[in-house]
Amino acid sequence: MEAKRRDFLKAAGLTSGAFFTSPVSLFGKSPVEQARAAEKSVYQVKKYDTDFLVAGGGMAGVCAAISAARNGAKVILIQDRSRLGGNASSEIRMHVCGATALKGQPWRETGIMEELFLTEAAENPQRSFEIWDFIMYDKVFSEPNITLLLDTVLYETEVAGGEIKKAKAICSQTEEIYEIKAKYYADCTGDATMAAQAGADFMRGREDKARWGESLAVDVADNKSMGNSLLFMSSKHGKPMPYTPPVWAKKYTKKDFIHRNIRGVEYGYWWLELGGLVDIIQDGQALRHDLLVTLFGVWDYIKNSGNHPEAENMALSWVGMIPGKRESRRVVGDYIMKQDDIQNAKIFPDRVAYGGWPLDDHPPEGMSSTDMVPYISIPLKGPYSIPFRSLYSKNIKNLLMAGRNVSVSHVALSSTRVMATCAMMGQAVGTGVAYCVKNGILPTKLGNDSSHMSRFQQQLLRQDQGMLGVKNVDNKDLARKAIVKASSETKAGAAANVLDGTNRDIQDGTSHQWQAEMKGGEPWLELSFGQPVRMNKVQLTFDTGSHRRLMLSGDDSVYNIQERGPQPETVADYVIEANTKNGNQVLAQIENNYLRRVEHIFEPTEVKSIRIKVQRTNGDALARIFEVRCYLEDIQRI
Amino acid sequence: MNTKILLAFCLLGMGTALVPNENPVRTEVAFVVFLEDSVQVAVDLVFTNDNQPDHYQSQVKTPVCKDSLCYLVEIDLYWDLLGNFKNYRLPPDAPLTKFDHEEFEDVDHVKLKKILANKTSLLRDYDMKSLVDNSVKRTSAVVDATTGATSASIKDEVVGGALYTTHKLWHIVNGEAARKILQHTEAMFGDQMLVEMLRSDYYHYQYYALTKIPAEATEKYLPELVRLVASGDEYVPFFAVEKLPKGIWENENYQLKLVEMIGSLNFEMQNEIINRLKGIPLSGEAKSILKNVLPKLTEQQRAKVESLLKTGT
Repeated sequence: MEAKRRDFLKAAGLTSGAFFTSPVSLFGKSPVEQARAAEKSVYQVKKYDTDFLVAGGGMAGVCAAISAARNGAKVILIQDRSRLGGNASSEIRMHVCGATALKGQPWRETGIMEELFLTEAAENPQRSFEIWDFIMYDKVFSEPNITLLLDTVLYETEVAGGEIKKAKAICSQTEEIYEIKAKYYADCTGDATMAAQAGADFMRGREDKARWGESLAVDVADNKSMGNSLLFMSSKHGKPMPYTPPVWAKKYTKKDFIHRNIRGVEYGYWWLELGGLVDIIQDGQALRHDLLVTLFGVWDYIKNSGNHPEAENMALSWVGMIPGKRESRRVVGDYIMKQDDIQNAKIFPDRVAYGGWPLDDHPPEGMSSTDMVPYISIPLKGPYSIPFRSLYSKNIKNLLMAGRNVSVSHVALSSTRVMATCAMMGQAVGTGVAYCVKNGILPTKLGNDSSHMSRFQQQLLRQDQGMLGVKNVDNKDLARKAIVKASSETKAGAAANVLDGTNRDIQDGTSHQWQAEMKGGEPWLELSFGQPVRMNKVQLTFDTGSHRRLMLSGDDSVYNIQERGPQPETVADYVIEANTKNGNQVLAQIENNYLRRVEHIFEPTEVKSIRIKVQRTNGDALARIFEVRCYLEDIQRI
Repeated sequence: MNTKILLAFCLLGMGTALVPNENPVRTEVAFVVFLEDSVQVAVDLVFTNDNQPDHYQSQVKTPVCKDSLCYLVEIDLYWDLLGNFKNYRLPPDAPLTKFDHEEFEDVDHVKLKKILANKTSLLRDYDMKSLVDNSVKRTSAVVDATTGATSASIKDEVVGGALYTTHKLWHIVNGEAARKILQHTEAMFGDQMLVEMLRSDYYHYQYYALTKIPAEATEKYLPELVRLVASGDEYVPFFAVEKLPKGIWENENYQLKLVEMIGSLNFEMQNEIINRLKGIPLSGEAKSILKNVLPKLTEQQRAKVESLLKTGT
């Protein structure tokens, strides 16, 4: 597409002349030809019109995109790197933390995050971060409703009448400028870049105690924040590996590590942190270098101080170049979560996700003041709910957000910021947008209307989003009308539990699952209907050991204690049979399952009963099923 | 003093155990603070026989309440010059009790003193509301009941059955009063106090004094610094060795002192000395001592020292 030079400059919003000559395309051409080519615009403008634009492909953005797509929305996901995952990707390698921090409690995040956890555990025995990137890529790419634009940088957001009209992004690899119009937009950039461009209200820095009465807040409000961390990995070799640091690396001695434990050296440290004292966004170039100065200084200390003889044969195998960010802007929503919401869990009517990480705040000084304790971690009694009203902008009507840039105070952020919690927010936002598209309503309507919200929560629950105190009351679930029996059941695992409305262990004294001994043969569970029922979907929810941490990590002490591979409690091989007027019919036959939620779709069939026969588990002596659901609906795999 | 309290003092065992002086030479009111419930607490500075500031103390009377049930706590609190908790004393007729009116036993006192001495206790960051289990009852009808995870995460941080007393006392000891004590001491801090602290056997004083030595004046305190390198408490030696002026490593006399220490230092301090000798010309005597200490070192340390010995005098 031809465009005038001046218009192009304006469209690109850039003044650098770099876009006018592409070294590759003009290579070998004469000066005259080069001058003529410079008049043509090298960058092609591509326009998109879609339901939902997700800016940012970290854990929040990935889950927002997938959940929206699965619920029928057309989605464009833009990510400014070649790999998905953000702080979890192979480029940063922070491991995904979440509510498993609640020791002994069964709150590992479910939904799409759980799919990712389980898939990675089963399909990445080689413990590779790059393969983890591709697990996320595969999940996104498998959704036909998602258009994924990688290496695509958002640079402009157009707003009119309190709504985003268009977003513009640029991809230098493909020399394209994208103009994307969407009905709804989600800012999953982490820095709330889209929100800031759109003029959404946002917060930044640390609020004081007086603002909201938060006892953990600072006495005087300031612009500081938690810092960024840079990670490394090292591997063992068969002989001593000497190390000479760059001349600009910092020199550290033992006194710098009084409050910073160096136990293992195969993976870097969260406390290798800086930036809270400066502008963590705009000072990013210098900050990255300062982190490298620190990182190589720490490695020099490990290798050459003599205090870590165990590191003699270790050598650096990977050094991050993208610091992992913790905090910058937080978009203001209809509700701002605060310290009290974290420590004294509220039952928000619009609860759509939960968190469980401690209130984990870091002083902004980081490694610039090694005499300071680098964190305060206040464990929680239990999980807390996140309201939908904290996930969309108060003043930009069609803008939502998920991740570390949501509507929370600085103190609350110290708990909500971790990636598994962000992933859940993403699923809430993506599903929410699909709901809004279908019902033609704004996010604020969904957040404040109890009848929309109850229907929405049922939709989320069906898709295994984790929420506190939401039971299955879905009238479309045909299973709820069934009578259930089993070949056998344990005392703690009555067959009726699969229809009790709860699909996980919630520590209320009931297992909420059917349990049967495997050793007698193939135990089965049967749902029978008074009147034959027509159905085309059966959804099963299995046990996957939600009290355990399960995620890729470079830290041996975190990784080696996990159950890697399929989780033992999970049913592996099973058959679903229907008893119809034409006899028995196999609806589904599955082997090697490792997922928690599995949906089976088949030709609409009239059944008198269905039977789920468990043939093999992934190790457990008991067959376990949390929930069975049955539906008759238009095919739209969720 | 009855034997129970004497026992408690002995069990405290933190550097210089401050025994509250029955007949103080001099006491003056340092400042007054008001507790949350507007109870007035006067904190006194107590002097030694030589009229040097020694410690702070306060006689506190405060109600501790659970719902509407209150009991009066009377307690004498003692802090060091920096606002760190040292000890407490109870009048014989007003023992500390738990909520079934059971008196504290020795083991409870030991635990309470340990908690009060811990400035980074979780109690700092929990307000009473967050510690109480009432929320479980309130939400379990609708929300999944949370377990008594409160007890699990903080049970080491409170004396069982005396949650309110522990929390309240911790905040009295480590709150405003402690901050003002430090301020008060800093206002009268001078060279004499600095030197006494450097020479003390008490970790908190050693560390604080180290931070107070001005960068240009480290020469003045060389003997004290060297002593702290050799025998400072906890991680004081790592800070002390950092403070040694550059020139000291080349000074024959001090170089010898530092090299002689190696045999008796812990592993990491040995490494500090060995690393800092790199590139420094060593006297014959120092080299001889290094040779003799080789057998006590690890293989990697020996390699470093052997390389030091190779360089010319």
